Amino acid sequence: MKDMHSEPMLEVSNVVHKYGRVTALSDVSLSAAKGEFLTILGSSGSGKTTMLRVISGLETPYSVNRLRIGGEDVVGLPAAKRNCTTVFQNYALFPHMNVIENVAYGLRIRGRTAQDSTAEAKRALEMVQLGAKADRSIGQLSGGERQRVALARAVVTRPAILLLDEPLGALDERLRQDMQLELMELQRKLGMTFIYITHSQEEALTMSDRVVLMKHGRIEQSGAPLDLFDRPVTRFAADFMGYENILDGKLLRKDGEIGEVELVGGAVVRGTLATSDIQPGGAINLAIRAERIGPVAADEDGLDATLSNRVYRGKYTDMMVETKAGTLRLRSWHGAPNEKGAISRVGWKLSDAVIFPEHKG
Amino acid sequence: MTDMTATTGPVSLETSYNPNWKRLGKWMGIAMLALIYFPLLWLVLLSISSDPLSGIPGAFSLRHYQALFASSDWHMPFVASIVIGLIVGLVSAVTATVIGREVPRMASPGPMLLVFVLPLFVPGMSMGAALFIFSQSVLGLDLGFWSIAVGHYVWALPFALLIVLVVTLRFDHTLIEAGRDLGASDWRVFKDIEFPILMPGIVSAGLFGFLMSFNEVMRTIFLRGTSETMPVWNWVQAAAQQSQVPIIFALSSLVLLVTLPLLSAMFWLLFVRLNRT
Repeated sequence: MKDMHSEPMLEVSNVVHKYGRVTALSDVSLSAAKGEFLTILGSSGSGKTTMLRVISGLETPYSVNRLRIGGEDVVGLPAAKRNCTTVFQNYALFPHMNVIENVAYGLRIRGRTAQDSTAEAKRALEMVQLGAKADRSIGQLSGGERQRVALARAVVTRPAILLLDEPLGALDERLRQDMQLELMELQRKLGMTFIYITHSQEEALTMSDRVVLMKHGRIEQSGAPLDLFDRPVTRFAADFMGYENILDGKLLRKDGEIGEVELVGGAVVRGTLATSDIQPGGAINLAIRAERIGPVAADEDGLDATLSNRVYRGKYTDMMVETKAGTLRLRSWHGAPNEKGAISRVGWKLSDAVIFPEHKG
Repeated sequence: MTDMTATTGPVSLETSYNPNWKRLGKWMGIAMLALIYFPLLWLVLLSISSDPLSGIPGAFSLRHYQALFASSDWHMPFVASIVIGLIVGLVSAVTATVIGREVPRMASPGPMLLVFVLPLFVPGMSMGAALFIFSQSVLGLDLGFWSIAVGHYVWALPFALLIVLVVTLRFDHTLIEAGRDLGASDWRVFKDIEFPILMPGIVSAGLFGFLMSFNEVMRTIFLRGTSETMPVWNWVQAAAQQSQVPIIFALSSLVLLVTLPLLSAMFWLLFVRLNRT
């Protein structure tokens, strides 16, 4: 675990930004420690890219209380003067320069000699395994290679913070997974603070030390990847993190972390409370992942269920069951014993069912 | 009449996609190319013939070229054309660049561009007459060198703008952000990134502006006063003095040999080099 208590590398507090009458960021605060891999997760229009542009200086926020990079106040400072660089979504490589010239550009701007900056750029290219393609033109590179050049170009000047704007979005599945590991490796090696923007929960969970989930220009939830994955605190967070089953109900009883819930339809089940600020009687949601629900014996906790549909999806089989609380989705991995079995009652481990307050609207 | 169905055999009336169209297209293309290039070739051949006025090449000699270089009558019009062409080329390249850089940032540039391009379809005679009045009474210019330059500039700018737009419309503005993000000042971003990428279009616009000016006759006639540009001089000579015509053949051939490479260079810059980046 990294030391998160030292002087933060990035401190943003109370950013508000508007595009015309549309509020892109409303009162967002954020901080990142030295060497932290922070992911800002959200769908398009959540304000995550605006947040990145505000940090980099490419966007001037409507108002901000505090904006510090590496301890230095950068409010009003143009992008060129900030100690951070961006890996752009479309890479934004300079098409009239070859690979090494692209990478060396930031060093040349800082007044380094041609020889010195070429040598340094070469080292950065080797770090992303492109040393052999230094003299290629940008048009000759594949998408994955362009991605690496963009990465090398951004880190070669040793910024305090590296900002990455959905850098893997344009790559295919396999390459994306390889690049995820490489990015983590690179980040560890450089000890640099990474602020990473993505709409993919998988990327966020794989790479980050901490994840910030954004919705409509606000932070919905933030925490360690596992917190978001296992303990979403709102319906939006649960939905975004891939919870297939989200049921409505009200809390009957609290017993430490465990809550007893009456679901719509009258069934009484139990789960784990995601937050302590729910009182018995309050409206709640209970969320469970499809793969965490399974058939149970008649005397165990759970819901009576009848199988209504079974869809084979390759790696797994999805099953829809009807219960008093509504339709539930179950998922069983291909080859698992319950893949083809009959189902009369379904249940779950207490820690797999998450209870959080229901927000209207 | 009872056997109607027998007449509907295989119908070969697919006229629109008849294979003969392909053949016709090919030969028509070749014929048109011949129509365009044959007279040019003929002109060059006649310019090195001893008796060009007969219209038949033959008995080749360079004597008309010698006569051309011995005469100094065409020097002033030639210099005037070159200088006006350079001024027009340079000024249209610069103004087209300044305007063309802003067009991609406009919300709906369509109507404005239409108005800019419209002069291309205004008859040269009308434009010439209009500019004749304008440059005298509004700009207060004496007819001559500068009024010709203004007329040529008005003629060349829409072309230059269209050419510059080829590069500015496809310029990716995130490259400017990337440059700033890497620490470059606005001037460095322009010098290192934007200008080199726009350069083929700007140079082409300049070359095209030069050529448009260099070849212009119609507007020049209205605006020249007593000055002469080379095409006007050629035309006056051809119309008036039969004895001078052979020299014009030689001069026109030389102009052609200069113009064609310039045009080729422009197209190469604009389409071949640009596509490589």
